[in-house]
Amino acid sequence: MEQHERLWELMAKRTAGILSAAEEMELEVLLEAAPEVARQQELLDKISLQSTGKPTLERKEILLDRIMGDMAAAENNETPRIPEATEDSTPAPRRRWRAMAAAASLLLLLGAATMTYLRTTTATVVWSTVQTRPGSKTRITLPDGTLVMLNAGSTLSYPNNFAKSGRQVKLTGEGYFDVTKMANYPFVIHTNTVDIKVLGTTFNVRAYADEPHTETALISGAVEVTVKDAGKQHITLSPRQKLLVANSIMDTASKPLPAARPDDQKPLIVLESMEKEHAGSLIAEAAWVENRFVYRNENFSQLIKRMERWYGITIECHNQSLLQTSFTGNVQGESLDQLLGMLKQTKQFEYNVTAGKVIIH
Amino acid sequence: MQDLLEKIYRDNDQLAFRQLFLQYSDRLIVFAASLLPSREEAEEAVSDVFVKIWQNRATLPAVRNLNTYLYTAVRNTAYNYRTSAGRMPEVLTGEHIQVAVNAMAASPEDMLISKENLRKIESAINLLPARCKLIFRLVKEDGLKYREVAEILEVSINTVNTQMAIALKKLGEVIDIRQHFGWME
Repeated sequence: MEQHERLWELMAKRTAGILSAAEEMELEVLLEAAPEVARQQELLDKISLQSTGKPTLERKEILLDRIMGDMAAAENNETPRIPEATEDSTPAPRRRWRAMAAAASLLLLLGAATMTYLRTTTATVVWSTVQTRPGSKTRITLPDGTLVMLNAGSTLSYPNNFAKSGRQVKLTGEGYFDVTKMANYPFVIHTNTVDIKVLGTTFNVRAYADEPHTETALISGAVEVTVKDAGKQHITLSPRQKLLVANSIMDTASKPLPAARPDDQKPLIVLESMEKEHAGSLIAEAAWVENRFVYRNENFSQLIKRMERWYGITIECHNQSLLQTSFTGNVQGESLDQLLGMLKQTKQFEYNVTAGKVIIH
Repeated sequence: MQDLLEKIYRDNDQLAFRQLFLQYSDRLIVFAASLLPSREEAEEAVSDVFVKIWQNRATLPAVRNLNTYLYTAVRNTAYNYRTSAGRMPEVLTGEHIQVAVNAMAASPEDMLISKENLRKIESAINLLPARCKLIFRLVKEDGLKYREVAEILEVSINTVNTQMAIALKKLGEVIDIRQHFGWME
């Protein structure tokens, strides 16, 4: 029993990374005697926590405006901002809170007016849409200076009153964003499964309708991802982190739970660390910007969808065992023939090409 | 982070100040909400702390550890609210923070934990005693070191270690390893 307590004491120390070498050996021995505990703790390491009910970016902007207001007020009148204690049983901070609530409701009224104004002009809001065909990429500079590289088979829409409407864009497919920093004006990307809010940063979003996940990969700065299912989780990413959200998360709310299939055990939201690619200056997720086609441990059935978009062709695969095989590789500027040749080295297959269509046997 | 502080106290840079707020407000507001009875008061407490940071920015060069500095300031402000409201400055009578648990992978090849186990861990975390849960959250979610947690909550490092051990034991127990290590049967 005492030994067991020692096990947990050491386990807690390991979590903090403060185990000495001797303690580490001691823990190893204890864990060998309790293999089930060892497995459970190994799995417990693979979670990330998110407290619910964190303020949204908009809410934080409101708080910041108040803080800046208080800072300015305090600097203008040399008198201290906080009122002295009085007989009044209501404490000072709470009283101030009421005053702010009044100010907030005034703001709300103003907000309502702006809303109606916006509504009347909705008819005149024109959305510009940029679309790339399979096999082609394009580069867009938005009115605020934000740079967007749009990958093949993707669509980006933005309103003509872009700055006034709060820097919002809609994306299907894949885009690499270098967002211009503007305090107070978050940039928002709407996709089918997630909304991504940023202030100024570089990141890649992959939201193709025919892929299982919507992927947000952060290169620098910070982004806030809101999952659009019933849970509405906000997840803040740090640089070199990637968030994968299963697109199927959107139908779990409406559908009754189906009978358990092995696939149902996959988590719907996964936070992943990214490794730097040695071949290029960018992470693998954004390598396409440098015209590199990177595939890592990728199932052939997924890979051919990407090849179809990348080369603007159609691929038909009649080889069932090939569809289950995973491939890893990295090519730059290679032709379709060269890529197929490389894939053949991993697993042998035959193919022929006729008029923009590849048939694999 | 040191850059940010330098810009604030040396250049009076308000943009750097905004950035500091945006980087820390989530964590600090959730922390304040576990000490105070309402979200509004939690936001108010954190706002007050940031106004004071700006007013006293000349003292920022003396800050050794930004984490303990910010969390401790929030804790003190929260305690002041409580005493001025005639309530006992007793810890943790605030909102019971709920957490959502997601999978985390060190690399794309890393094994993922099952959805079922994530759900079990999530409800087990939400059932932990308030203090134990707060300590577990500060370590696992906010990434604080044990000695930082100890300083912020004014407890010994030993207490933090014990509470973490309790949490790890309770959460580990709910995990069904058969879903992952089938070969062990």
